[in-house]
Order: sequence, then C-alpha cells, then structure tokens
Amino acid sequence: MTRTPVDRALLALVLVGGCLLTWLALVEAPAPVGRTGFTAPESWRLFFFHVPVALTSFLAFGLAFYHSILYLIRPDPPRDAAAHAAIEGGLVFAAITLASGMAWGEAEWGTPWRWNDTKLVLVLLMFLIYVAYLVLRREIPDPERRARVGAVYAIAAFASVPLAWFAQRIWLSYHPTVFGAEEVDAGVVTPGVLPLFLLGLVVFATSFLYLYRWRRGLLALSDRIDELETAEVVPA
Amino acid sequence: MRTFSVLLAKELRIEARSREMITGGLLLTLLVLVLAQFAWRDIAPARDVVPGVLWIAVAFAGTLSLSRSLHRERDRGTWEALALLPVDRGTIFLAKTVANWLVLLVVLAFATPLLALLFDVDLWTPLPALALVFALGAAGFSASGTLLAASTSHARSREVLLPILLFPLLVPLLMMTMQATQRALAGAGVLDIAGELELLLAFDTIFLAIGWLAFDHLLGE
Repeated sequence: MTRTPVDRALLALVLVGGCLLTWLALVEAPAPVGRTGFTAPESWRLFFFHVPVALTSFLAFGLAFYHSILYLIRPDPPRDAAAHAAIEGGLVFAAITLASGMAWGEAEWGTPWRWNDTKLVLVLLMFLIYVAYLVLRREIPDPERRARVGAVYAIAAFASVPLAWFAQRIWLSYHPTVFGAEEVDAGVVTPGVLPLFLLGLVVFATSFLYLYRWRRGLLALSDRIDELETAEVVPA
Repeated sequence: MRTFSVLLAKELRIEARSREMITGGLLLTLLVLVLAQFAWRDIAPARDVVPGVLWIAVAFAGTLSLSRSLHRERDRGTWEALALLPVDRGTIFLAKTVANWLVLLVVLAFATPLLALLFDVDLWTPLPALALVFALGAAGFSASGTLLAASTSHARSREVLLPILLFPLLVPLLMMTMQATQRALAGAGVLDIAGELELLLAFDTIFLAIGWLAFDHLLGE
C-alpha cells in the first residue's frame, strides 16, 4: 500500500494530538466538580479516552451503514470494501471501549462488569452483532452475494448503535449521562473541559480514519486479486 | 394486496401439508419447558422464571422454524422460482413474515398455558396485556428472523450461522418481552407496560421496514 500525503497528515495529527490529549487529560484537566458521587474521582480522567473511543466506534458503524445503503442502491465492489473496513475499524474501537470501561468500572464500582447496567450490555451486544458480520462474510462463498447480504446485514445491525448510544437515557444504567443530563448533578462535564473532550474526539476519529483508509485499500486490493485469479481459470 | 394474500396462502398451505415448522417448534418448546421445570422449580418463585423460560423456549423454537421457512425454498429449488415471480419482493418478505408470525403465535399459544400449568401461574387476569406483548414480540422476532434466514440461506454452515446472527440482534426485543411479560404476570395492565410496548413496536417497525426494502437484494438474480 502506498501512503498518500493525506495519510501522512492524518498520522501526524494522531501522534501530535494523542500526545497533547494524554498530557492534558492526565495532568492539566481539573478534578471533577459539582459531583461528589465518585468513589475514585481521579479515574474520571479516563473519560477523555473512553467516551471519544466509544463515539468513534459508533461513527465507524454509521459509516458502514452509509456505505451499505449506497452499495444496495448501486452495487460497486469498493463500497463493499469500505463498509467491511469501517466495521473492522469500529470493532477495534468498540473493543477498546469495553476494555477501558471495564478498567474504569474496576476503579469506580469495584467490579469490571455489571450485568444490570443496560448500556454496558448493549455495547457488548453491538460488538457481538458486528463480529457476527465478519462470520457471515466468511461463510458466503460467492463474492457478489456476500457483498449484498453483508450490506443488508450491516444496515440491520446498525439498529443496535443508537440503542447502545442512548441506553442510559432509557433504561437503568450506572453510566453517567454526559451532555444534557436532566439533573445538573448527574452531568460530569464541566464547561471548561468540553474543548478537551472535543480534542479527544478529533484524535480518535482521525486514528480511525487512518486505519480505515489503510484497511479499505487492502480489502479492495484483495478483492481485485480474487477477481483476477478466478478470471484466469476461464479460457481466453 | 391480492399478491400478498396468494403468497401468504401458499406459505400456510406448505406449512399445513408438511407441518415441519409447527411440529418441530412445538416439540422443542415442550422440551425446553420440561428441562426448565427441573432446573428452577425449587430455586426461584415461579413467577420470576416464567417470562425467561417462555421466551428462551420461543427463541430456540422460533429460530428452528424460521430457518426452515427460507432454507427449504433453497433445498427444494423453489428459491429461483420465488425470485422469478413478477411481484414486488417486499411483498414476498411480508407474506413470509406474517406466515412465520402465525407459526410463532401458535407456538406461544401452546407454550403459555403449559407453562402456567407447570409453574402454577394465573393466566386469565393478565391475558390482554400478555396477548399484546406476544403479538408485538412475535412480530419483531418474525421480521428480523425472516430477514436473517434469507441472508444465511446461501451460506455454508447456515444452521449454526442463523442463531449466531439472530440472537444478539434479538436481545433488545427479548429484554422488552421478558420485562413486559414479567410485569404483566405481576398484575400490570396494558397501560402500565405501554413503555415496553412502544419499544417493541419500534423494533417491529425497524425490521419490517428494513426487510421490506432490502428483501429484493437478498433474493437476488
């Protein structure tokens, strides 16, 4: 894979932004105010990593949803590769979300996992639903049907994303509602740290984009190889 | 509408002649119920385990019958005939979904009284609320299951693949049906469980819409 200037720029942004984010979140960010419910107040700094990573995974699945719809409207192999790459990337970020959330849970709740926290369970389900996407792809031999079925599945699977995103506003959850919480006390974000949160979002969304572009290129290439290999079998 | 009723009649006629979905579904449900009865009878108060047992049994039985509904089209070579029909493919999806919904309702209508008998639960008071939960829950199950059974019909290990795909997708639905069934058995009326019913309705709408729009691409060729 050749790297374009765009790729280099994305990588540079990720590295510089990542260092800046780490320093700001771990050292400069103020201790939480306006909320006394935390048992491990300092561990809230994980918020600047956990939440942007989670949002990035939601955006990745959204991107796969978008490409899948376009694929069904006009079948085009690169679109299928794009949706596939977005889902793989989204899975990486969803896995990091789960792992970092469990680390925070261990510090704050004293346990890494709570089955009665609906948001936790729904994010796990979202993860499993998209893992099943990869299983489904492996099981369908015909590339054209694989792409079509994959696109339909990716569209259906996307229903799990808003559900996981807004879960704590609908069901019982121990996740703090971040923005627009009804009681002031329940919100964590103090106005001063919103820019830092946005920086985190930029850093992780960019790193996703970098990985995604790379992976999309690779998948398109491997599709092309398959195509050439099967074409060779047919006598000219 | 006429196309729909002809297709639905065809599904029901196949089922009436072969009875492979209903028989398999009922037997599997019965077996899960008997096993559950041994597992939990002395541990938890009956009312607490009934919703879970019922919907787990339905999930297994339903997956079995749903897979037959589409995979048999492929096995008997009628898949191509279905794809060649000069009708809107969304209508084919709706006919299959409604047929599977009716099969699920038969299974539920059979399983629930049996469950009530085994676990000694009163069914008459919560009947209207339960009927609504069953109708909406079975509709969402049938819509998402028909969609995925069509997706897996051309896969290599489709019998294993269908539950792997379907169960995670069904969890939000099963969460709602179990919670609503639980509350209905505890004496909640239709209005008390309106929240759960709304979410079930949302689930049904989403999967009916996706299936209706996307079935064209699944049928293919």
